[in-house]
Amino acid sequence: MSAPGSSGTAAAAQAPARHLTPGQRRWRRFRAHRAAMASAVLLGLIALAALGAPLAEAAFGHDPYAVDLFARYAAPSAAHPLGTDELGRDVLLRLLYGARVSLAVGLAAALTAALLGTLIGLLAAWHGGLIDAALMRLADIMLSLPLLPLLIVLAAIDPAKLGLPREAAAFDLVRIIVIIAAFGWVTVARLARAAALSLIRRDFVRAARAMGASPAHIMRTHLLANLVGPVAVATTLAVGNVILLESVLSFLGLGIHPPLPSWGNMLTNAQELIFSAPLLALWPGLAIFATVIACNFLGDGLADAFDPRADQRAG
Amino acid sequence: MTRFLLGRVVQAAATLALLSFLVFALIGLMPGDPIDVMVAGDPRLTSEDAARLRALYGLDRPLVERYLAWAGGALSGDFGYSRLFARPAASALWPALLNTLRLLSVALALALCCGIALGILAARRARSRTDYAINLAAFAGISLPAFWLGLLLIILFAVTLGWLPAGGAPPPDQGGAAAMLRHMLLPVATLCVAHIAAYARYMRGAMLEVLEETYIRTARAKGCSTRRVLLAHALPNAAMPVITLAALDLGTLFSGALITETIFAWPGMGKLIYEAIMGNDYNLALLALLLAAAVTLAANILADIAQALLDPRVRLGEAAEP
Repeated sequence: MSAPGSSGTAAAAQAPARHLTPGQRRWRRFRAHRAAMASAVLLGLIALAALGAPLAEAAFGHDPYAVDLFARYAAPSAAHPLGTDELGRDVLLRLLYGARVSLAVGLAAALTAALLGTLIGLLAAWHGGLIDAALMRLADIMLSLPLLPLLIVLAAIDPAKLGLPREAAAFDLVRIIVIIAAFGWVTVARLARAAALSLIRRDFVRAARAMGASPAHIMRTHLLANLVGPVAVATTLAVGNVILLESVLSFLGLGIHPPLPSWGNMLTNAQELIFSAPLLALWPGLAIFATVIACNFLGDGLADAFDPRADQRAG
Repeated sequence: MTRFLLGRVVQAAATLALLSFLVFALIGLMPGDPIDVMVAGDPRLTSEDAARLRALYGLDRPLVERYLAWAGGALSGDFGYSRLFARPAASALWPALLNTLRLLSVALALALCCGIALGILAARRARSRTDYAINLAAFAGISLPAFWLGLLLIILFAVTLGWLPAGGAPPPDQGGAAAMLRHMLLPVATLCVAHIAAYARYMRGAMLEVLEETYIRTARAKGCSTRRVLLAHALPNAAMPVITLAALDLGTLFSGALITETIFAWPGMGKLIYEAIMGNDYNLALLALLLAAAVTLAANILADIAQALLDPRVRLGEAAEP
C-alpha cells in the first residue's frame, strides 16, 4: 500500500514505470479511478459509523430500541438529529445499528459465496470430465431459477419444522447469509473455473507440474494467487448486491425481523406512512443507495487495478 | 441446432420437475398448514377433528407420496384449488399472468430503447463529459433499491403532486387505455431504471469494441457521415449482444417484478406469488413459482436462439462450452 510519491498525475501514470512492483502499479491504477477512491473513503466512513454506533448511543443518551409513544414522528432536533419513527425510536441510532446488520450480512454472505464459489470453480477446472460437467450444469440451473421468489420461500421457512431452535435475531442473520450465499456462489464459481482453466494450460503451471509440484502446491501458489484479482472484484460487487437483496427481503418482512434494525426493515412501515411521515422513507433508502453505489464503484476500480491493460488505455 | 434445442428443452423440463419437488418440500416447511388455518378460524374444531381433516386431505401421508399425488394431478392439468381465490389455481393465475406480461413488455421495450440510445451517445464521444455523466447515471441506476425508488416515485408523483395514482390497476371495463397508461407509468419506470442502466453500460462497451473493427474504418474512409457509421454500420452488430441480454433478462424481470408489483399493488404474478406464499395458499404458490421458473428457462433458450439467428457466426451445440 506504499506508493512512491503521492503525485499520481496522469503524466506519471503514462510513463513506462518499469521500476514499480505489480502491487504498486495496481495501487497507482486504483488511485487513478477517482470514483473508486471516493467510494473507498465513503465505505470506510460508513463502516466507522457502524462500529461507532454504541458511542453515538452513549453521546445521545437514548436506546435505539426504546419505544416512546409520546415522541412519535418527532421532527429533527438536537436530541434526535433525524427525528423519531412511528414508535418514537431515534432514527439516527437505528440507522447506525442498521448499518452494522446490513454491512455484516453483505460482507458475510459475499465472502461465504466467494469462498464456496472459488472452491467449486477450482474443483471443476482441476478435475474436468464428469465432475466439471455436473458442477457447471448445476450452476446453469441455479442461474436459470427465479431468484427472488425462491429466496422468499426459503426465508419463510419455519425453523421449528426443521427441528431448529427459533432464536430470533441470530437465526435471522445466519439464515439470510446462508440462503444468499447458496445462490451467490454460482457467479464466482464460473469465473474461477474459467480463469483456472486458462491458467492450467499456461506454461508456468505445466512447468511446475513437470517439476513434480503437488496439486495442492499448484493450486495454492499458481492458481489461487492469480484468482485473487477477479474474485476480489466479483466479491466487492457481490457485497452491494447482497445488501440490496437483504434490504428487499427485510422490507417484505422476511429477512431481519424487528426490533433488530436493518436498513431494509426500517422501510417496511414506510409505505403506510408516506402521508404522515415521508421523511422516514428517505434515510434508510439513501443509506442503502450510497453503500451499494460505493461497492459498485469500488469493484470497478479494483477491476481496473487488476487489469494490466488498463495502463495503456488510461489517459 | 434442432438437436441442441431438443437437449435444452429436455434439460429445462428436468429442471422444472426437480424444482417442483424441492418447492413442494420447502412449502411444507413454512409456518402453519391449511388445517391450522381452519382450526384457528373455527373454535369448535377439536384436535381430533383436525387430525381427521388432515387424513381427509392426505396431509398425514409421507412427503413423497403427497408429491406424487400432486404431480399426477398436475400432469393431467389439475393443479389443485387456490384457497385465497376459492377457485382452481390455474384459473386464478391467468389474469395475473396477463397483467405481468403487459407491464414487462412495456418495461423491457422501453429499457432496450433508452439503454441502446444512451449507450450509443456515450460511445460516440468516449471519455467526454456526456460519457462520464451517462456512466455515473448508469452506476446510480444499478445501485438504486427498486422498492425505495418506487416509494420515492409514489411520494413525489402520487402524494405530493397528485398527478398519478399511487397503485393498483384500473378495473378492466373502466377508463380504457388512458387509465391503464396512468396506472402503468410509475411501475414501468421503477422496473426500467436498473435495466436501462445495465443496457447503457453494455451497449457502450459493445459499441466501442465494434468501432475498432476494420469495416468501420472502411466505411469512414469511403466518406460515410459519423451518424451513418454509427447507426447503419456499427449499431446492428453492437446491438446483438444487448438484445440477447434482454432476452435473458425476461426471466429476471419476471421474478424481479415481484417487488414492484407489491409496492404498486399491481395485480400481477409477482404480487400473486408473494401473497400466495404469505397466505399459505400452497397450490397457488407452487404453480406460480413453477410458471416463473418456466418463463425464466424459456427465456434462456430464447436468448440462445436469438443469438444464433442474429449472428451467423454462432453455431448452437458446437463450441458452446469454452
